[in-house]
Amino acid sequence: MGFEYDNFLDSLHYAVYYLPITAKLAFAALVIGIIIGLIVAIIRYYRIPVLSQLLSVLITVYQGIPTMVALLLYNLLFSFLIGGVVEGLGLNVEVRDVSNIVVGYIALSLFAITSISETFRGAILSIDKIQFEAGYSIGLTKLQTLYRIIIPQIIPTAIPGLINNMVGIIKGTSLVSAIGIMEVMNASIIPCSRTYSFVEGYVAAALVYWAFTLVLETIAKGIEKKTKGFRKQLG
Amino acid sequence: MIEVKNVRKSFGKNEVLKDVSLTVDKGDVVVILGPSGSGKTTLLRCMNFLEKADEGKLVIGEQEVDLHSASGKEKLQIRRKTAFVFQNYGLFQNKTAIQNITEGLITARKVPKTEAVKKAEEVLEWVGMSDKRDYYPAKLSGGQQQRIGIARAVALDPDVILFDEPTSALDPELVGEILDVIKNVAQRGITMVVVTHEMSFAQEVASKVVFMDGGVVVETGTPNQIFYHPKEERTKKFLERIIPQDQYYI
Amino acid sequence: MNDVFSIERFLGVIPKLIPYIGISIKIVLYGLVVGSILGIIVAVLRIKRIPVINQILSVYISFMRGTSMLVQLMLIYYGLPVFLKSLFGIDINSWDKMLFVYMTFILNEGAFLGELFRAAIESVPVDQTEAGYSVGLTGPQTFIHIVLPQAVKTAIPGYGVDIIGMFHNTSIAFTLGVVDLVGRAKTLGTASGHELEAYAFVALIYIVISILLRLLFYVLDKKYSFGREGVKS
Repeated sequence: MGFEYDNFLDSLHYAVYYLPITAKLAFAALVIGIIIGLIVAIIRYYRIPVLSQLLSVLITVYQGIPTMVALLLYNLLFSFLIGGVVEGLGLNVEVRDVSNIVVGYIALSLFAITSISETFRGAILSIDKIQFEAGYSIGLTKLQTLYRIIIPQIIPTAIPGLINNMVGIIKGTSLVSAIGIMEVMNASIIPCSRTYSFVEGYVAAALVYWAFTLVLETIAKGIEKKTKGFRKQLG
Repeated sequence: MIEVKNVRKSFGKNEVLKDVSLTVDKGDVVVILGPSGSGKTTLLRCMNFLEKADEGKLVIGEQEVDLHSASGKEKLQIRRKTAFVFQNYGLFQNKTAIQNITEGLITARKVPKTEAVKKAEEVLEWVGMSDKRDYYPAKLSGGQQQRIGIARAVALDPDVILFDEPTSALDPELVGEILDVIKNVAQRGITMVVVTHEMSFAQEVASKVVFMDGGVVVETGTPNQIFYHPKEERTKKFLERIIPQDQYYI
Repeated sequence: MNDVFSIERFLGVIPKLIPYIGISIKIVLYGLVVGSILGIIVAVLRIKRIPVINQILSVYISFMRGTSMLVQLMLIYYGLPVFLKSLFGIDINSWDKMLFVYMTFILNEGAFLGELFRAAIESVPVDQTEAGYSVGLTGPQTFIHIVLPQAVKTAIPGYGVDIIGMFHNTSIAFTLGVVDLVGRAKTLGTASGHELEAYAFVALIYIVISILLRLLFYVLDKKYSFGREGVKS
């Protein structure tokens, strides 16, 4: 027993082939997380009655659930509900053929929303109150102030945090392998089931994830530099 | 004419404004003086709804609004008739000098862009900041930022400009030049309410001086009355502390 | 839905699951204690910027940051035996699965805590060290009495986040077949045909312990504020 280079290449091939699935999961969660996370952060910043308290409790509670446990739980609920959905819609498909990838999307998106909303909340809190006041004082509405003055300042402040959130989401995508979704992690060990040697498969998966994270991180840092223009200090 | 009537405001148990009223005529330069904690800044902030007063009314021209329960629309209407100059400049960090000025014109007052830019360039020239037109606030010194802050207020052509201690965040050597800019604004005949600690400025520029202490207006009068013939004991005490004796009765 | 979830069954699984919290706590403790020691070594080596060692450490940290713990766990579980066998002829295939879990957590924590400690130590202003020297303290004395206490204060919130994250990550151990909370919930479910109650209780335990940990670190953070909490600047 040793490290078989050919098997490793086989695994690498499978892992790269399934990278788009992992990328789609991560990207969808990131986009949903940014949009809803920003809205959640704004609602909490303005302390909108009831909604704000509700969100703060929900987020605190949800942050207590490990993504793996959430995935297993949702997957179970999915298996209970899918029969009814298929029947209700009158779909002509076998229940066991319906992919549970939607569970992955939901769990990762919820994870993204909670973590990204905290990043945005920190960013809004770091903005001087005077920026809001100055907006109001020249006669902008609350929405105009938010949209034209505050959000453009939140985004660059939030980018380092968002990069961390993104790395967390990419890592989270590997967990969906546990509910049987075919993505990088599971694909990379397809060749291993022939040889019963898994090390090559997991080395391949690790390299693909590592490279994927590094590439995206480099791109994001490039964007960060570009948006920082107005924050450079005097002198 | 602008009138503030019976304003009350508490922060928790601390009553900061106890039934304060104030009248500002068109073209007036009203300077509000008083020790720190007297409520002068809070009064100014209430006038622009940056603080919500517990009670009180504000009249600008024909329009009267309640300082406690004004609707969002009323607040906006008042804010579009007024301008505010902040102690810490309050420039939009994500906008260049000229964008800081055009923002209120284009977005809030729907002035066409070319006109807004022309107007902005004019006031930038006037405060001597034309060469910093496309600089972000972070690249400007405090004095430069406050020039832009004043230009932004003037460009809006408001019924009144409210100045909240416009020089107290500046290095001492820069105070004079900013006060000169504000004097220039006064000479344009713009109605102003200025909260400040600069006594000589008040003497020179004010048409009316209001002395506040402990959340009430103690005394109102011309600079001459307030500085040389104060009626109230509290005013005298304050002036004695602020102005050295030998300069006091010149 | 009555058939899907029953309160009775939910109450029934509680005593069967509670003992397994111990497994997660054990994993966290290993990761925390040994991981912190490793983290301090990593931080000190990184601050000293020793050539070659520094590059090796930054690759190690980048890998630990750039891949998920699940991947790392699999890599160590399947890779380490192959590595040791082919290089040194040592056979560790009979080792307990938990050892591989501990090892993964320790290596992962070493990287994350190393970075946390390094950032915290470097955040203490140089004049603090200079002030230490100026009153006649030696280098190590200055580090232990002046720099370290201030660094600890900076590191506390990050430490809290890290420990909660580690506690959450213990939920992946079942993928090796370790019978922890999740693993036990799975076997209970398979045996009875009702998995939901067990999983729901597992989620609840994680929520409660996470919130308690957050509270604990909130209190710790307040306690070590060195009089800075009340001062508004």
